[in-house]
Amino acid sequence: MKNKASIFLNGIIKENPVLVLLLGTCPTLATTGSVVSAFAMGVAATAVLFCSNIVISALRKAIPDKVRIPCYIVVIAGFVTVVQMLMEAYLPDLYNMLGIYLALIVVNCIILGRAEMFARKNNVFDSALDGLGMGLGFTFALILMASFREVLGAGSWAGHEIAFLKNYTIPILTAAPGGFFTFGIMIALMNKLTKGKAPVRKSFSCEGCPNAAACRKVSCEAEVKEEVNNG
Amino acid sequence: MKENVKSVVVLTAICLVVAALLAVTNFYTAPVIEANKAAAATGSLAEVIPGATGFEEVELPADAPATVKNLYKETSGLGYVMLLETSSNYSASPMAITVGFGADSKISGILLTNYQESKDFGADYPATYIGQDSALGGVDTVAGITYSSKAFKDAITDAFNTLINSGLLAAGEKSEEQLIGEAMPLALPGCVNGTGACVVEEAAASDASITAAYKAKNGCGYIAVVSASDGTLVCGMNAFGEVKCIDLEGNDVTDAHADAVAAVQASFAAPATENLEANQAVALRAFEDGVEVELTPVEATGAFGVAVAAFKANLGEEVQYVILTQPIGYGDETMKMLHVINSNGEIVLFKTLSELIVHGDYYSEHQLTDEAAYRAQFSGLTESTYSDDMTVVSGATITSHAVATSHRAAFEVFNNIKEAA
Repeated sequence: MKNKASIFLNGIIKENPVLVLLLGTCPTLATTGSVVSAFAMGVAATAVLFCSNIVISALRKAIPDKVRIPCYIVVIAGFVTVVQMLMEAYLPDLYNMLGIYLALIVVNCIILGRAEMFARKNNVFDSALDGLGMGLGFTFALILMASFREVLGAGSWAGHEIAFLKNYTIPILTAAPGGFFTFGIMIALMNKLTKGKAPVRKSFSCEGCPNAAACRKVSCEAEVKEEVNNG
Repeated sequence: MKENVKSVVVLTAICLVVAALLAVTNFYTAPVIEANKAAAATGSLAEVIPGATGFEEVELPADAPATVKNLYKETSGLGYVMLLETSSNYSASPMAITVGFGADSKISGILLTNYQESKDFGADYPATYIGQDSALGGVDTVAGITYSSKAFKDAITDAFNTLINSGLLAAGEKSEEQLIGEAMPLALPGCVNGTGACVVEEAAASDASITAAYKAKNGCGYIAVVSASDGTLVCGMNAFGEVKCIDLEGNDVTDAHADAVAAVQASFAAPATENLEANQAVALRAFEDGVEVELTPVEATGAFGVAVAAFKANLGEEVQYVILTQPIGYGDETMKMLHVINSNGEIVLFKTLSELIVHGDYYSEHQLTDEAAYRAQFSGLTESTYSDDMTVVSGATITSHAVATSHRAAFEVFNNIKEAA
């Protein structure tokens, strides 16, 4: 049971996809200008991650190794399109707010990364937990970043005006440069908190990369060995 | 080989299942998405008809003016909504207006959805239209943004006319005051400014049948409201003392009302005669010092434009005509212009006696680097070769309009003199 809890909690802090694994950077920067859009993106990605992890894990024995990436992409794209349709129908305002980034969840590295790193090697229940944990970690990181950017950049939180900040905003924080700036600060903070240990864990080193198959033999193994030695 | 076949089968199967999942989702969400889109499209429509529940588009009549873009009917019968777009003649980009008409044939709401002029139009102006019927009795154009407000008012008038002509709305009753206001520009076209309103001041008239009298501020004549046996008439007297009477339906009824014409003529002195000496001095400025010229006043009785005086100039062998005009410029100020036209109808000289640079509206250095060249371009033109487009200087719309009015008035006077001869 302890193992199950750690699978779930892994994604939230220790292996937070955004702040530690540095996956899904594009939607992170794009949708954290406001808390509402960050939350919506987080929930949408979590839903897709949860469902795709379950399906991919369930099919892990049926899917031949050769075509696994195309299979994952088809499954993920299918779920993203379903989420997109549901959002357009029932949450049109959020749908318009997320715009193109909703469709881009298909190529979000977190989802393909978890399919490749976790779901194809573990059972359905564990994969579901991992998807949920990673999704919540992603959402948590997004909301944290968006809160920082929206509160200081626009003087509001989730659209609610903060009276005493209204006249002292830093508008650049809501623009793209502010996104990079905030992202940098948060990664630095994360490294400080984990004392720099997080980035050298094997489970998400280059071996965990979806493209690792292409380079694993030569450079990747050497890199992992080196990192472990250094750590 | 077996491995390859399995790959193809598995990938195909996954694709088929995903496609089926998408088909099912689409089946349930597509109608909702459609409805959302329709609601968004008609969202601004509901804002102009309070309590509206839904809209359906109605086909526009074939003869609808170009300003009218779309017509929607409120499904529960609360009224109609029209999308309007003003002509872009006087503005950089057309104004887009959404206007709602209630079942009482009055405007229930109005939105200005696109307005990109430098001068602020404000939300207050469109709001003055709410509650108006087709007579539009309570609205006026706004000084300083005259062209935009005129374009706005014209668009609303077009909307009303389209609906009334289609039998969808009832026409509003115009007050007598409004009807008189509409007849005035017909009785004395020279009194109108760029927005089509007569610029007048009150005048005294001795005749008992005249209920109200006005003097055109630019001095081109008088207007009298005459109470005749068959109703109210609006009579205009031009600078040369000629009178034209219009009834409140806009018909020229001069011939049937000789008594009204006589009353007006008895009440006012023709401006051209009254100011003869001063006009003669102005007309002389058309000629260089030392040129021997003999000026005799001529009458252009049919000219109801902005002309205030006309002279025949005898230059020895040649005869020319000097025509003084006073169009209305920016801020309804009178501008003074002078034309010399030869016996072939060609402009020999066009002169502006008041400065073209008038407060607020200007032919500034920026827009008109060479004012003399601008004026000289009209030399040699006749009525057939001249066009109003030549006068246009962007950024000085009203002054350009005044110059065009002056040219047209000068040709009108010349033609009248020629016909009389």
